[in-house]
Amino acid sequence: MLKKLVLIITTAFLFISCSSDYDKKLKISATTWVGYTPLFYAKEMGWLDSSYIKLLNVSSLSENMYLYKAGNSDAYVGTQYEYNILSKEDSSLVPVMLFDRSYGGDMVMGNVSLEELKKSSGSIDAYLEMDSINFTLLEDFIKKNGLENRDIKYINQDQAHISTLKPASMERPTLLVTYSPYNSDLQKKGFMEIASTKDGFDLLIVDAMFATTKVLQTHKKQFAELKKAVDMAVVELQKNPKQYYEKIKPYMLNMNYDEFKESLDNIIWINSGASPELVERIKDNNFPLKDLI
Amino acid sequence: MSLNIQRFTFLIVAFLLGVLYLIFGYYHFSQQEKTASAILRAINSQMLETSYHLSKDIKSINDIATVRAMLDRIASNSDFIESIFIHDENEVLLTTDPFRRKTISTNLLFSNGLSAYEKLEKIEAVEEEIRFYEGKRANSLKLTFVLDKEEISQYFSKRKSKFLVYFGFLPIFILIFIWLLLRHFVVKPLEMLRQFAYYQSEVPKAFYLRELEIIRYSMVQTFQRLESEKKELYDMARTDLLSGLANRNALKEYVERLIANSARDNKEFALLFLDLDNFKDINDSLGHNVGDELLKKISSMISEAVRSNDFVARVGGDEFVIIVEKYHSIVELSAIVERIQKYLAQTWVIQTYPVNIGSSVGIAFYPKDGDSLVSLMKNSDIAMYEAKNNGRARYHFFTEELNKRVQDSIALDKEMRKALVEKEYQLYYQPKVNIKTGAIVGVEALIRWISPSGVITPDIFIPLAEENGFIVELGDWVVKEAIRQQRIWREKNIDVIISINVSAKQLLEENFIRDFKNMLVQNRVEPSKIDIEITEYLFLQNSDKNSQILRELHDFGVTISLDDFGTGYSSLSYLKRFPIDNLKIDKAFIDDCESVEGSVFVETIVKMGQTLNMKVVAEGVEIKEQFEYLKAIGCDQYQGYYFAKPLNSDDFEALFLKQKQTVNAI
Repeated sequence: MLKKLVLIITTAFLFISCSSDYDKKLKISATTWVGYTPLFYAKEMGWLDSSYIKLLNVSSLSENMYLYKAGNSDAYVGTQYEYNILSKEDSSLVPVMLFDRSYGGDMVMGNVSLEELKKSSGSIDAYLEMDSINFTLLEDFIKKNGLENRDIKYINQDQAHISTLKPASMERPTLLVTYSPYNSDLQKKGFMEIASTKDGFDLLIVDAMFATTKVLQTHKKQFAELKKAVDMAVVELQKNPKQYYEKIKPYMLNMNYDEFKESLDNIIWINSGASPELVERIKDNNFPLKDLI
Repeated sequence: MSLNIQRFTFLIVAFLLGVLYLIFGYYHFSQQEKTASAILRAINSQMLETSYHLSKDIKSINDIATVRAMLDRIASNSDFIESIFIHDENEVLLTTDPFRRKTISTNLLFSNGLSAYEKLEKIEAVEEEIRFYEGKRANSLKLTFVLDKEEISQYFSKRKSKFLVYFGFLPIFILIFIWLLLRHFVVKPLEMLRQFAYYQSEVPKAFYLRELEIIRYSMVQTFQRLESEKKELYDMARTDLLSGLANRNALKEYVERLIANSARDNKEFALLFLDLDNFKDINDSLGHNVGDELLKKISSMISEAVRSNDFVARVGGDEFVIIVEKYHSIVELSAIVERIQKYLAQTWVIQTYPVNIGSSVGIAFYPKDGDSLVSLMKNSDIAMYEAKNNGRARYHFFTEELNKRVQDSIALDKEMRKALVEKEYQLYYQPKVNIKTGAIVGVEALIRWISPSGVITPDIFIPLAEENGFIVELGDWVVKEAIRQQRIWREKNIDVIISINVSAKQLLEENFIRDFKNMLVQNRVEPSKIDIEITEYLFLQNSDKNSQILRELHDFGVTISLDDFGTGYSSLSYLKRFPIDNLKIDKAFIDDCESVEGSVFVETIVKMGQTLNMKVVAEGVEIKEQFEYLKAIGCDQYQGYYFAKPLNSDDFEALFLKQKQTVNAI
């Protein structure tokens, strides 16, 4: 009798607790950045479907961060800047996956050249996402070019909005802090790149995915499969960039293949590992790597 | 028609399950509809809110890209919205889904006749107009929320799965659990109680439920009381109330069972009918109360006198029946009877009165004297009266012949033991002669009982001595006497080997070898001058121990002769296993050696013995023809009246010296 009861209770317990490997959907929010395209490629290839992963796409890094904060995504992508903001609120937040290091991908554009900007007097308009790496980049740019004493008006806009700006409508010298692929449209409209992370900025920008250790533990297998998919996507990109571009083209706004190829030169993939020197620099930036998948 | 509890419980459980499912089903569909309705309302509200904001934010169709971030945010924040796009009549102007190129015209949000859940299932998208102004000019665009059908479907299917698990399967498990509990704690105990009430074969263990346990306990108590009363009645029906012994009923049952067993196993048993002598006089003179008390004490004494496996019953006023099953001989049985009579023949003190009483016992045997209780009782009763007629305080067997034989045996037993004390036994010696040389090589020591009334031959007292164990005592005397004689002859230069007959019982005595060796040492007799004669019957019991004893004697230097070879359980394997030096051919073969068949046997034994390196001795040679024949076939030695009958030591000495001279002269 006791055996029967134990069997019934165990069966009932197993029955109630049994579920698929992916009992919960893993929601990841990402922005349109060339460094995150492996995620879009994996999605379009259908590699995420079997892992029960949903990819959310928003326009700006800060929006991405707030989406995560609101609890509408389980993990989000961003730079160490977005990480440092939220890790102060939740110490269990950790980087789980590295994508790339910006090497020119983040830039400052203007309706005037750098020389004209320096010669000009009066105030300067600066469009940027304030709660993002844009702000750090702009601060670094101001300092490097001796613009600390200039009257700079900070205008907080997302990249979708910034990308709609036109030089003709601007009365004052204007700076736009943006990144690939938003720069392509702006360039076509007449804005010129006056500085980028390639130009001797003493600034390390690393793109990664972040989640809490609890989420990481709960979705461990899904994260592992996602990492595998990302690595495969990067391999595919290096093998056949054209085919890769065709898959992710809809996410890249109006960027053509040549511009896409060019934008790839502005990042360095570190998804499969970074050099020891870079690892040290990343660590110095208060960016723990121990939980990387 | 009646239902058993198990089936009844099952039906109740099934009914409960059915009712629960109806309630759960209703609840499930109701909740599903409410949830679907809430989702639809939320999407619609979100769409109207977004439409309103867009109508205020959009200043020109060219600026429409500036609101993309907001749409991205709304789409990402809602699980059930796959994408949002703004379009005019011709094309999609702005979308959160990079792959969206076409418009969707479906909008069944407010269709009648469909439930909220059905609407959610069928609607692909919902649409709302965005009205905005470029200066004074009113423009209109469409805002479409595309529903995430997969997400919605998964959401509801997950709800369904959970509902099915918690409200579909879990109740089944719970009800099975309850059913098992009921079965274990109610149905099974009830079935056990039913079986207990019906068969009473196994007492159920304590139950967990109090009411059932009370019933069980009451039943156990009741059945125990009934059993106890039944046993009491049974005992009362089979027990003599005065003495506490078995009564006539019990005797009848016992003897009937015993007769059945004995008939099957072909065994006998004895029924002893005991009657107290002159008990009526005690009753008459001292009163019945004294008589009853005496009977009680006597009953107790009889029980003490018999062995534990004997059966005692009181069958009348002063009549007792004792059943004795296991006894080896009539003598042993007689000893038991005598012991009982001796125990009873004491002075009893009953209420300060000294009472002397004897008992007479009649004995009948199954199946010889009767094959039923009635016949055995009748015949033992006759025998008992015969004992009384012979003077009371005696016992008597039913058959006169047996009675006489037993009485003779008992008398002989007493005489035989007395004869040893009074030194009436003597050893006679029959020479063993070498057939070839005619020289006396040995003698066989033979016991003779010279009683005052004449010589009693061994065939009369040896079997009785074997039966009652006196043979050990007597055998020891023979060994001692023979060794003593050997010492005397050695001193007189009479060099012969003395053969001593040793019985199996004597040989198996614990100290036989030790005592035997001591006697040889004390008399300074060479072991080789002693020959031990054994019979084949020795091989039948304790053969391993016998073999060990014989081997030890043989190793000591004593020779071993196998007496009466061919008459018992002759087996070649014995000759191989036991250290036999001499084979003695039984007189029966010698008597028949003149016939063809007889001579074949004798010759075969002689050849076989010699082949096995044994000396062959022929016994009972009485005539010259026999001697000549034995000589012709090469037999080694012989003994018998042809040469000399058994002689006392003096006569043998004379014969030996004469024969020695004759042999030397030749």
